[in-house]
Amino acid sequence: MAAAALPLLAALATGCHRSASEPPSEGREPKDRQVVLYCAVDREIAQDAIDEFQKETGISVQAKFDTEAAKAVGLVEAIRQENAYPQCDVFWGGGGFFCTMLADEGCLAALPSDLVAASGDAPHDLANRWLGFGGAYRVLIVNTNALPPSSWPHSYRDLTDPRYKGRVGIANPLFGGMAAHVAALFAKLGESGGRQWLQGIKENGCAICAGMADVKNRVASGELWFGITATDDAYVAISGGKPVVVVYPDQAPEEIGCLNGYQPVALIARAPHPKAAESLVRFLVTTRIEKVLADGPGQNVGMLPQSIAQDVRPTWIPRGVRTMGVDWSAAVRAHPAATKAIKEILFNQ
Amino acid sequence: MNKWSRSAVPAISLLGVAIVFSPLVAALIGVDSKTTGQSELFHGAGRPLCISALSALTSAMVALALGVPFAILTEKARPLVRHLVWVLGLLALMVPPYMVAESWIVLLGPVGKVSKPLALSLGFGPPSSQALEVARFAVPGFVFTWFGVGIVMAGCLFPVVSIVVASVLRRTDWRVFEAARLIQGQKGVRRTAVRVLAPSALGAALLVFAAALMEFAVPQVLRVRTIGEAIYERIQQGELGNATWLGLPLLALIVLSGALGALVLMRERAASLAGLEGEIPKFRARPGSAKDDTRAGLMALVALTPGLLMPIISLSWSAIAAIEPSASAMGNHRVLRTSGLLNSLQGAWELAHNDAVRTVVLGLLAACLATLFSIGFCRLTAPSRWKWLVGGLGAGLAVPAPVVGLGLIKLWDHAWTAGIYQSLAIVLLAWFARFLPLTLLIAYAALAKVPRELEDCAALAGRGGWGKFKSVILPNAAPGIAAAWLAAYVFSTTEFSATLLVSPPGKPLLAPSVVNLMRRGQDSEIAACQFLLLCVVALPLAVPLVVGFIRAVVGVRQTRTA
Repeated sequence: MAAAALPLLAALATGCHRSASEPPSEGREPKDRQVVLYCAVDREIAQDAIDEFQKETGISVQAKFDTEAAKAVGLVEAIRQENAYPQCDVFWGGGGFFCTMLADEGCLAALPSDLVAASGDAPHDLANRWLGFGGAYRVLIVNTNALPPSSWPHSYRDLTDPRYKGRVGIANPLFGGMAAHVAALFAKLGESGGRQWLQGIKENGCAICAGMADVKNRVASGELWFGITATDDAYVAISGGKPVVVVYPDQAPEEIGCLNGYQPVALIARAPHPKAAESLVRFLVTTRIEKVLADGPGQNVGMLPQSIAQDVRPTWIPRGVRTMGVDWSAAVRAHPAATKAIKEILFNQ
Repeated sequence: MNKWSRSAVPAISLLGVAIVFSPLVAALIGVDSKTTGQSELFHGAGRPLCISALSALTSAMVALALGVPFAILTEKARPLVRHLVWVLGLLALMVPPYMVAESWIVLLGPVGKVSKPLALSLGFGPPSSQALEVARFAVPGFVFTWFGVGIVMAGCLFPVVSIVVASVLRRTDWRVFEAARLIQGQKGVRRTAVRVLAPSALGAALLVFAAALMEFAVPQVLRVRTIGEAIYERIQQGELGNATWLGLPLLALIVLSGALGALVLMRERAASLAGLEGEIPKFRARPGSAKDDTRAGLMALVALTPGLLMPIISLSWSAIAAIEPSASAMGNHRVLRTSGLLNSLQGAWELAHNDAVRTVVLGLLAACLATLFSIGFCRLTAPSRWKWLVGGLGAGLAVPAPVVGLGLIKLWDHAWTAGIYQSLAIVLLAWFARFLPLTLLIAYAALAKVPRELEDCAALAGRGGWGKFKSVILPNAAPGIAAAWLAAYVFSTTEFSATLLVSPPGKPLLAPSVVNLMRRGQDSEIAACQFLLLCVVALPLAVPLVVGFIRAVVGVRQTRTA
């Protein structure tokens, strides 16, 4: 009884009664002085940008963060489930793949067209429902104790090379960023090409790790010789003095280039605080914030026109990394086939 | 049973069912456009389900093997050692299992800080001593297997068995063993001990089985594909309904093991008229000796190594070995841009002290409410036909955490429930849905042990409802009630899967933050965050434990003086 009494008391105490058409209650903050941010970018990466926004605008950011340990069953799912009655205003992170999924499901609203136009070649949805900035490459992290420079891999295809049998790894491709990566490969190489690669890594004893940070940990410890991870995860190992080096894969002209797992930002459809949400998005998609992200633990690379002109990037990431051109809508369409192939080939289902 | 009680029974029963199962029902009946046929739904789920069951079975058996001798030898030790070992045992119960799993990888993984040097020193390394060959050497280990999951969970949960066994021992007249020894020697003592302890130990092992079966974080960390991963996978594909259906086979296993465990435990009654006199019935063995202390210490060392000592060693190792990050790359951030353990601790506290305070307050509230509800539920339903509901509610343990979280979103994300959904009350509901079944099972087992005859005697002696509770129920069921409270507190404060989904924006809780940093941070930050979480979990228990320890020390001194 006591357990039930508490929520009832809380409901009575807050006294928030409104119709379904009204936005959710604001608490003590005025409507345009608060914004709810669902942030799939890690807290330690995003916090500086959030702090600066609050300081500059006086708008309070109520942030909700994700964690890799929750697989992809975090904020993306929360946004899906809240679609009928959204609580969130801005979604930041999740990659082009999950943002495209959310956009297709009607969870996202269009961004201001002038903002998208001013972003030059920065990746965005055809209907402007998300906009990518703050690049983070998918790289090969290599243990330098186990592999001398002459043996370093240079392509995602090297995961299938028998020289490295049993000592390579990727994050679980059924979840999160690696699911997006494999779907992108399926979209790029076609289903048969994708299946061939999966078969190759299966035969090569590729370790399926809990996440990209886990790949980094296993390579840094020497358990694996190399694997696919993101630049921000690789940086944790590099700055921690671990014996690792980063290889940007597939840089030759005939190769596909490395995947750019940038951090998109999106407005939620029927958001409760639309004006404050737009302010936050306009604040985030700037060279200033790309500089903050490049200097912070995210180690992101600038993607906006002014950032490219000013060469905004961490010093350890080289200029001119060739990236893979990905049509995320095609990747989303390829996802069911990719998932089926992963289950059949990697998990014998 | 008076009229008020009779009308309250269905109400409290339905309330319990609503709290535990409403998220599940909401997830099941929620709109799911991708619902597939049953054969496709369960396709490929057989193997993960078997692995879940195997790892849970391993947990139960190893917990039994560790917990029973731990309890027997500890109870034989002298008060000071006994209290110390029990404090450590409770601490083992409080360490989050995912933290323990991490420590196993660090120390005993293929390139573990212990396993690799040990294998090399024993001659299992590469034939050549070349640096490259040594660097490439990895120990083929068992950590990343279902067996590893089972051992880790047993290391965390064996104190449950120990507490139950010790509770029985304290209510057993040790003259029984003396008599058996006189008649049949040591063989007689062993046979008697088995008869006295087996039902309770088995019941507790079944509870461990149920708790291990519902664990989703440890298999993730140890990269073992259990049914939990299959459920997560379907949720990611937008198939919440299918994911929920996939979790239903677990319900049967949980109901069977949890209900059987509670049944076995509640049949283990202890009768003593001393309860009427306000005394807790305790029959002590002969006073312990230094030899008994040594045995208890050694057993504690063995039992506490998997779940307590390994995380401590791993944590200390990370803290000591932390390399200072290069200043140019650090920037301004409060946690990730500091160096060394102490700075990281300070940074972790600055960043997350609000999360920590919020977590402690909410955890205490959740534990108190869950325990009070459990006592009320058990006391009201025990004399009625609703009493079997407690076993059914035990099935709530099998509802996967993300299903609880997403089900609650479906249920409470409406205009008229905004007050709950946008406040921390929704987190309380998530914790209740996940852990109230466990609290109920433990409390039910504890309360069922109290003989009705004692209550009747107390009633005849003129004691009212409160008087009976104070003089009979509480003294006899106190350890079980305390265990129920502890379970609710520890599991709630360390839960992250459902918490992450439902916690209101701007009010983060500690466990999700720490879990994230554990995956991404530098050694010093990981150590700092783990230490912070452990402190938060242990904080409310520190005071009574320290008081108990001081009382034990004073007691020993007074005995010596006398």
